[in-house]
Amino acid sequence: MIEQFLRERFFNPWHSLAQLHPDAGALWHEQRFGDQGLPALDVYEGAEKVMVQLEVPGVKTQDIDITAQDNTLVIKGERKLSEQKDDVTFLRQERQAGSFSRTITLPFRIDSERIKAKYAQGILQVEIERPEEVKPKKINIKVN
Amino acid sequence: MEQKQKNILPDVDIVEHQDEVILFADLPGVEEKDLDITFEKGILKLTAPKKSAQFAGLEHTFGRASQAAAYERSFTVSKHIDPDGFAARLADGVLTLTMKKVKELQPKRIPVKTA
Repeated sequence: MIEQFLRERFFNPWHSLAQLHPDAGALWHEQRFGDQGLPALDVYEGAEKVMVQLEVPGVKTQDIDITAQDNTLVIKGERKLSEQKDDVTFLRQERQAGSFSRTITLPFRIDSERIKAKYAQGILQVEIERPEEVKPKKINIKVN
Repeated sequence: MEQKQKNILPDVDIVEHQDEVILFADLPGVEEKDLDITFEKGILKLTAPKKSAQFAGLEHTFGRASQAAAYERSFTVSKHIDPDGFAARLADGVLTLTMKKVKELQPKRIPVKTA
């Protein structure tokens, strides 16, 4: 009872000023980790390789699973949030925990020997080298 | 034409414990040196640029990361938080900000003496 009183009287005045902004709602949904359980994905393409980038803050590398079959790359993982326990009092709870999965189909067959993955600052980067036969070939023209 | 910078509201969890309040904020891609946390006149403000990734010889073909953006969010902090009791840590793109409650509000145990 007292706890609840204290919480309501003193520890609920966390007003996010940004939420008062008229565009806040739109930005909100655009950026959420788990609106559809999907972390933000970006793809970069070049002649030699393709880079896939996934925003997964707070995810441990041992909880990320990357698999490649034919021309499909699947990145699966689970975000475990240690603070999200039943006996904890939340004044605000927006971060989503749980599993996620993203599938990317590439225009070439993926060679599992030609994939590199790196995780830093909550961002996973998967670099996929294009196979030799699909790399554009440069033909030198001889001038006599 | 110059691209307008977009502000992103980071997702947060705020958890209350007996003697402290802890704020967790998702800030993927942010380095310690770029994160700015200020507390002034009862307003706690988090700001950090969201740098767009650049890879030599690669073109951005899907997603939103190419647009210049900044994480920004402000909170009104209860006067029952000790302004000198803040501690911040950034790991794996998550900020953990611990805020101590003022001493008077922390629970006290009153010993009972037997007559």
